[in-house]
This record gives sequence, C-alpha cells and structure tokens, in this order.
Amino acid sequence: MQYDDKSRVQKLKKRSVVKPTEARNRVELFRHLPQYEHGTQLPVLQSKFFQLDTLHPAVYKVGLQYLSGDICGGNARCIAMLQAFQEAIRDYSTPPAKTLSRDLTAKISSYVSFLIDCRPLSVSMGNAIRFLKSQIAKIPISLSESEAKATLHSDIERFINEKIILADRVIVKHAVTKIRDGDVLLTYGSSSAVEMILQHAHELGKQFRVVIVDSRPKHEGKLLLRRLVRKGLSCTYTHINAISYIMHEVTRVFLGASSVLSNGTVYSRVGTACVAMVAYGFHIPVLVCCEAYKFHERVQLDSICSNELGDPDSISKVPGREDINHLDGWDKSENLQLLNLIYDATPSDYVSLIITDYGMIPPTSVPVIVREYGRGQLWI
Amino acid sequence: MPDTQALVNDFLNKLKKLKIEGSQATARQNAELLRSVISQQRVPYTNQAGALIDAVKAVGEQLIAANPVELAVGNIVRRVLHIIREEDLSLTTAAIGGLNLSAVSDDENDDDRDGDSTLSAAAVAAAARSTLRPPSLQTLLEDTPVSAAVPQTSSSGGDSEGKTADKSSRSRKLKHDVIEAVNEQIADIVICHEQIAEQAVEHIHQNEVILTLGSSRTVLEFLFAAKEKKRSFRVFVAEGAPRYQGHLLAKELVARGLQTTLITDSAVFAMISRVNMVIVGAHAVMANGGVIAPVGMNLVALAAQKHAVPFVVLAGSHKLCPLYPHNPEVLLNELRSPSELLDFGEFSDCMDFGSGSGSPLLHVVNPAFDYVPPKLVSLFITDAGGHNPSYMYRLIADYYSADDLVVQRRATAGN
Repeated sequence: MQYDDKSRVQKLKKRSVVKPTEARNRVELFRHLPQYEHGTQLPVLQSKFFQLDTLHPAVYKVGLQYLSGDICGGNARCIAMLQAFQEAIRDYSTPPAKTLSRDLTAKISSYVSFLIDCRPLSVSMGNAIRFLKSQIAKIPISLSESEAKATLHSDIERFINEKIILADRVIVKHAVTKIRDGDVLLTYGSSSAVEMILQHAHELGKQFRVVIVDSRPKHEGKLLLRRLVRKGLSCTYTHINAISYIMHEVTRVFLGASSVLSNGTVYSRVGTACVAMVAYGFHIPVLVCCEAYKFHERVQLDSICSNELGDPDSISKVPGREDINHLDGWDKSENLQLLNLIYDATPSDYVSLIITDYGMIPPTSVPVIVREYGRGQLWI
Repeated sequence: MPDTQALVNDFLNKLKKLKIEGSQATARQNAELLRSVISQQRVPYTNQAGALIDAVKAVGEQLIAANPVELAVGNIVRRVLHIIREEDLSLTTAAIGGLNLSAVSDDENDDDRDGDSTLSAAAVAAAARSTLRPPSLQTLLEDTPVSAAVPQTSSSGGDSEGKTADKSSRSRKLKHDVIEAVNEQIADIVICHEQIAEQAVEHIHQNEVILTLGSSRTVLEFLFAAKEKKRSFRVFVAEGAPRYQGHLLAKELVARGLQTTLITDSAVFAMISRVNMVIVGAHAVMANGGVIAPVGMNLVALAAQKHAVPFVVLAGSHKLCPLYPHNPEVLLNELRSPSELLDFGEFSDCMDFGSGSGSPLLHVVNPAFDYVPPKLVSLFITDAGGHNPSYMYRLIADYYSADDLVVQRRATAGN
C-alpha cells in the first residue's frame, strides 16, 4: 500500500473505522510508510465498543490491545489475532445465497484491515493470515457449515501449536547446546524465544551470565531483566551506546527476530543491526532465533524501504527525567522532525547462525526453507 | 604565594566536583590559573626556567590527579611547561647568537646567508645543550632571532661573564615572554571554535545530509557557519542516551533554521545509509589519532565505516593529548550512576543481596566515554587545519615536550 499516493490514502480513510488524524512533521524519507497517527484514537474507539456491527468484539478487543501496546512481540500478536479469529469463526453464520468460503474470506479481510489500521501487520501475522485464507479456500463445498467451522478451528489450533509453541521448544532444545559453562551471553531487547532459551539453560544448571542491552524509547529490556533476575540469573544491564564497552567480555550474542527475509537479512527491532555489527567487529558469534513461520520470500536491502513508524512523542519525552524537556512543543516548529523507527534490517554478513525449528541453518539457507517448506506444504 | 594557593584550591574543588562544563572552559580556566602561578612565582638568579617548571609541575600534578578523565587539564599543564622550555631556549639562543655572530651583516648575499644559517644552527644546538631540552623542529627552522633587546657583548672570549650579564636581564624577560605566550594560548583556546568553523564551507556542499551524535559546541558553530554561507543541508541528530544531549543540539539547530531530525541511538545503523557525512566533536584526541568521545560514538564510527561515510572529528588543539591510549576503554573511561538507566525504586527488588551467595544478581554498566580507534576516523579538523589521524603525533612535538609526558616533580633538581 503506497501511503505517499494521495488518492489511495483518501479512499482508505473513507472505509476505515479508525479515523486517523493528520500527521504532523512527516520525515521526508518515510513518506511512503503509514505515519503514526493513532495516539489520540484509543478513548474514542473504546467508547465505540458496544456499537459495532461490522466487527466481531474479540477482533475489536485485540485491535485495541495492539493500539495501546499491551500486546507486543511477533508471536504474541500472532497468537492473539488467531484466537480472536477462532472466536469470530465460531460465531459466524453464512448469510443465505452466499458460499461460506467467499463470504468468510471477505469478512476476515475486513477484520484484517481494521487490525492494520490499529497497527501495521507484522510478518508473522501476515503469514498466518495467508495460511488461514488458504485453508478457507480449500474447504470442499460439500461440507456443512458446522463441520467447516470445526475444521477451521482445529486448523488454527494446529497452526498455533505446531508453528509457534512446539517450534519454540525445538529452538530451545537446539540453542541450549550452544551455551557452555562460563559463557557471557548478550541479548538485545526482549525476545520471547531468547528468554525461553536462557531460562531453560539455567534450569539445566549451566553456569553463565547474561548481558541485557536496552534502548529507547520502549525499554523492553527492563521487562526481560526483571523476569530473568526473578529466576535467579545473574544479569548485567546496559544501554545500546555502551555495547562497545561491554562487548569485550561477551562470548555469544543471542538475538530474536520479527522475520528473516530471503536474502538472509534479519528484520527485527531497531538497534539489532547495531548490536550485530559491533559483535561482528569483535569476532563474536551472533545467533538469531526465529521460528520458521516467520520467514518471508520478500527481500530487503536497508531499513528504509519497508519499516514501521512509531509515536514521535515518545522520543521527545524521557520518562523519569523531567529535566530533559528541551523539545516541548516540538510539533510547532516546521524544521524539526522526530523519527521513531520500530524495525531495522541487519545484513546477513553479521549473522553467524539462525536457529529455527527446522534446525540450525546459515543465513544463506533461508530461501531454501521458504521454497521447500513454503506456503503449499506447511505441514512437514 | 598564599593567593595562588587559594586559587589553586578553588580550581581543584571545581574539578573534583565536575562543576566546569566542557573541555574548552576547563582549558581556559586552567591556563589562567597557571598564568597566575607563574607571575607570582619568584625566580632565582640562575636557572629560572627550572624553577618555573618545578612550580608548574607541582600545581599540575594536583590538577591532573583531581580529575584524571578530564584530559584537557593535563594538556594545558604540559603546554605551559613546553612554553617555558621554548622561551628559555629562544632567549638563550638569542644571547649566544649575539655573542658568536658579532659580524652579522644584513646582506642578502647567498653565501653569507648560508654561512649565517649554518652558524645559527650550530648556535642553536650549542644553546640547546646549555638549556633544558633538545631543539624542536620549529626552533631549528626559525631564523636566529636577533632581538634588539639582547645586549651584544663585544668580547667573544669571555663567555661565562657574558652569560651572567645576559642572564640578569633575561630573568625578567623569561617570565614576561612566558606569560605572553600563555596569553596567546588562552586567546587561541577562546577562538578555537571560530577557527574551526571557518573551514566549514570547504567540507559541506549543497543538499548534504549530516549525522551527528550528542551535542558539541564545536559542531554547532561549524554547522552554523555553513548555514551562514547559504549551504542547504539536513541534519540527523542521534539523541545520545543517557545524557540526551542530542535534544539540546536539535533545539539549537532548529532555532537557527536548519532542517533537523532527531533519531534514537538504536536507529543509527538504519539511517546511516542515507547520510553523506558524519561530523562529531570529541572529548580528547590521543597521540595515535584515537578519539575519546561521548559514549555511543564507536557505534556511529563502525556504521560509517561499513557504509563508506566519512567520519569527521572536530577538535580544538587544546584537546590533543600527548599520551598513547593503552586499554582505553577501561583506563580513560569513567562509569556514571546507574540511576540514569534504571530507576532504583522500581528495581529495588532486584538489588536484593540476600540471595544465594550474597552477591547481587544485577549489575548496571553506564560508561561515560567511548574510544574510537584511528582507523575509523577519516579526518580531524582542528583550529590548525585539517589532518589525517596518522599526522596527529606530529602536532604533539609542536605543542609538547617529551620530558613532560609524566607530570611529576622530580626529587633531584634537574639541569
């Protein structure tokens, strides 16, 4: 969707439930991406909860959770969305004179555009939606409505189970073999896969310590830090500028990913590229942990062609530091723009190994997995 | 003497409590302090240079120990010591030159000039032997100063007598010259920003995109100067956590009408592919061309190298330190308070010492500086022009003496 094309943007605005406000101070380089305009929408949408007829309440709820940032992270968002779709399908009934597959597909598409309005889709969600639509299309006409709904329900259940939950267990099993006693492991931000690996390794009794690198504005590392310290792991906490200082102590770097693209580029939280670059400079292996359903056949060279923009106000304010208020009233000056990127693209040369549920592969093998185990043959 | 001691104590206090912001202010106040020390120091009849040097070393030792990370302090101390030695040398050379070259002619004859120059080189070397240091390249290349103030004695044989006669008039001259030179030094420090900013138009063309991290007054003046000359360019400012100086810089740039975008430090790698040049300031420049800069600079330098973007460091010459960095990440760094990263109240449950072995599970690391190795720096722009990192060691010989690298008072009085 080209957001710099004015006519298309107008058409989209007319159809959407979430009414976007005009974006202020747009960064020129990112005009092709949807600008962040949703900060003020949450209370309005919350009040509309009981008035909608086009949207299933479960989907609406998930959309609001995305908008407010309550659900964050590729796996969590995907699972929440699929469970909402399960409920929507359960409550669905085919209108007369329409086929189930076509009508249901149209309904799912409308749900998806609502979710996109709340927050742009992640790659994991996109792959899951494609899977769901292909399953709906495959339903034979002879099946009754209740049987069709039951099939879809179990398909979604299988997807979540096999592609996410079991895949994570396999990844953890592979990854703990890479952790030795005395290791110092560095991780960036908060990745569910990496957290599971660290906790499992600690349960197995391995002696290691963890360095958690965090950055603005989300400070996701703090949550991970709290959970790990509670489990009894010895942790060091620092911010991304200090990685050159801390990197000489580190033996391995574990990173999570939102997606791995076909040219081996790792698309994940902004700052991952910096961490991988410094680790590569110090000759430290970088291991990326990513479930295979997040792979995508798209290719990307830099972080600008495709990205997500976040709330610029979270950059101008620093929570807890009231003295940093130089940028109050920043939107009034036309010369100043604040850029809050959510993702960035790490080049494949910086990545030593990708740990997936299909095994441990080098970044060059990602297109092989996408092709062999891609869309048509999702079940091994 | 009690006056200077009070001044010294006052300055020491300010250094220890980090009350002075920035190396330029530190350098200037330091130079002014040393000027007062020199002017109030009584010099004996013979070897005044030695006495001045001892006095400055005594004060300098304390100043450096007060805040070892602020390298500008040590730089200025060593600068002043070098000035004392140089002035002493040039005065002695002039005196000896006056003794030996009794037949100095003003002819523009080539032979005579050659004769003059060889004689002056020998004279300088002779002078050097009788003073405290070997001649630097600068003094050797300078013509023999035939200063009118030096009295010329006609007797070429009575060297020692001539010398004592000279020294009596030289005693006042040495202090006077030294204080003049220190004043020049202070003037240089004060206008270093303008001199660097003058070079801005040579490096910034139209429609450039410039990246910087944190805030540096030198960079600010540099960009303003380019804007004054009607170059249009855009600036990406990385905020520079945890001090967030980038916010200040962005505000100043916007106030002057420059297109500015503020980004987080984590987005540096993402944005650098669209940047033409990285321009940053430095805290100190080491003798090998390495840079001590605010934390996060190594990240920017590595990203710039990967994308072949020139990495330009602006530094006034008072930031040039004659030391070679050995293990710079640790020794030339200081760790700041963890409360800038983690809120103590929020994480108090994680700071529990009562678990297991009794040692805390949580460590917080918050370094203040970063070391950028010389191979990542494309260019240094100082008030003396633009230089390669490989040239920086040569500037040291101009500003510092080899004897002063370790500023410590020697127990025995040296020659």
